Amino acid sequence: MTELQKQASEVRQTAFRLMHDVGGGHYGGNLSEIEALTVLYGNIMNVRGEDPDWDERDRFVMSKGHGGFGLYATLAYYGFVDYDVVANDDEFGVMVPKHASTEVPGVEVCTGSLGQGLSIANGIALGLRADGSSSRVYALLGDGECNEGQIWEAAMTSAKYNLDSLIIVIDNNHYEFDGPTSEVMPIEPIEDKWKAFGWKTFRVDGHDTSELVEALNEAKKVKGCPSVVIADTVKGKGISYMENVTTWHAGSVTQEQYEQGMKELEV
Amino acid sequence: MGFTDMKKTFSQSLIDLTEQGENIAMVDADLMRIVGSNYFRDKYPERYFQVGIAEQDMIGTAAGLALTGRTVFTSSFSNFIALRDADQICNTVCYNDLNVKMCGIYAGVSSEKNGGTHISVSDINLFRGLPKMKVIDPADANEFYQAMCCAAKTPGPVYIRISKGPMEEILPQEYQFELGKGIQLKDGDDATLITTGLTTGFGIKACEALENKGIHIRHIHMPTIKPIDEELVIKAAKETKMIFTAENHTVVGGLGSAVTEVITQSCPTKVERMGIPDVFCVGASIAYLSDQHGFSAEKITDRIISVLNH
Repeated sequence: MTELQKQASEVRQTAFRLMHDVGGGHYGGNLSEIEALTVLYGNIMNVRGEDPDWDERDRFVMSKGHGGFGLYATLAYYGFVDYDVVANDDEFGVMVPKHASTEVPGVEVCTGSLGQGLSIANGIALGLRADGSSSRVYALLGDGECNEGQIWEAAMTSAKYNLDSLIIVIDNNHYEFDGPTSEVMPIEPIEDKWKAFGWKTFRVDGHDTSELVEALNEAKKVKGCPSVVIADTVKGKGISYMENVTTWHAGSVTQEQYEQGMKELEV
Repeated sequence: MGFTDMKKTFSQSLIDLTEQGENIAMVDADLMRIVGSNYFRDKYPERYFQVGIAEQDMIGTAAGLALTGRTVFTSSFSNFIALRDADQICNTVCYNDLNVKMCGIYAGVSSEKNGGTHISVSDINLFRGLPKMKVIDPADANEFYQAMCCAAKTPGPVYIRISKGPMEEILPQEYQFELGKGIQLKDGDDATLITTGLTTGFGIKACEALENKGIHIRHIHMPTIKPIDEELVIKAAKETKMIFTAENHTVVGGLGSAVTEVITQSCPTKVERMGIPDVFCVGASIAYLSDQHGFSAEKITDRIISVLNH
């Protein structure tokens, strides 16, 4: 196992523990996105955990805002925030939101209403380019999220403005809230759709950190158009009773389920 | 008094702000030639972005640009920017308290024969309910220009609704717009008429007609509907017998509601709200629609006389 793959396993454990500690969460999509986030924060992106607002940082937009805990776990793992800050509620039961929030250092923008992050990423990329910045902009989208019309509005804008500083990853976990995407709203051929919109596309095993690193490094070299890495993943990855089970989109686990899950996630 | 083109005013404000050193950007959704942003685009093409007929993407793109330190203006028909973009404006712009300014053009009945799909009846209502949002309904081009400049210098989201124009210059030349402040255009003690946007011009004429009949109306123009000038409203409620409001918008949740909310809490007084009732408008002229719905100068005059005589 590579060092990065090992880190991803540890981030997944952290995310699972975090969701348990706060009383539940969107397990399915938070467990499927872990390798993408690990590769971005642990390898690809130019960021500093000790200085989250560093001017020259690459920007990351969590378009699938319900993946907040996976992002918080990643940020905690890479030193942007203490685990205890995101894991504990206060005396009134108030905690950091399940949906990605700027209350957590390292989160660029609050998200949660699906379909909006790509437009935001476009705006950031346009602004940075106008400022002469060499920073890149990354965004993580869900495959279900691509049902949203605004994603395709934004996909046209990214291509129109030749935003080669923009690289997105789609956590293609094949499920959305009500069931398999193939039944709820078929997205395939997903790669052809993005190609037709003027994007350079890559398709990888979204749980293989080496494939993700290779694709993202290739995407960095692309000139004149935005890039999308379609990362095929398993919803609920790593927990046998959650994998590809629609109802584990969100929920909470019993102590017994938690212990079993942590055992299955042991590195 | 002349009429001033709203399109040129729109761009001139952005050009002047940029020349003053403000980091302005503009995102359009294929209504540049109606908004008038083409003058700004021609002068500062690097600050101008066009996303096509994609109002939701317009707001999201503007949000991203705002995250890079810019003050970003957006525009669409007031009925669309309010309703189609409600989620994007609420959950992205307001929730993140971003420096994005929304301009809703062809406000209310000024959209005239475009008909009910384009005549915004509920944009003030919607924007007034969003935390962080400020809502301005200017009465003429001079005030619109000042409101644009003020919006740029006011942190966070601002909504400005703009009549189609050209708009008659009705406010004094020396008038200085201030966010959250109303202006008393005429004193009187029989009752107070509070107007905003298009209805302020109607209100001026109504108050003149009433004065000629010996009815002394205090007339307040209320350009900022949120935050509303509570002090001025309460003072009017205390010093005059009752309050009338008139607005180019549904009477549900607009200026009349905002005034009523202040008064019921601080100084209960009778309030008569004039404006579009809870209906869609037909496609017709401003004159026809303001008359049909009871907020033309003549209808305001008649209503005030009728109510005060009872």
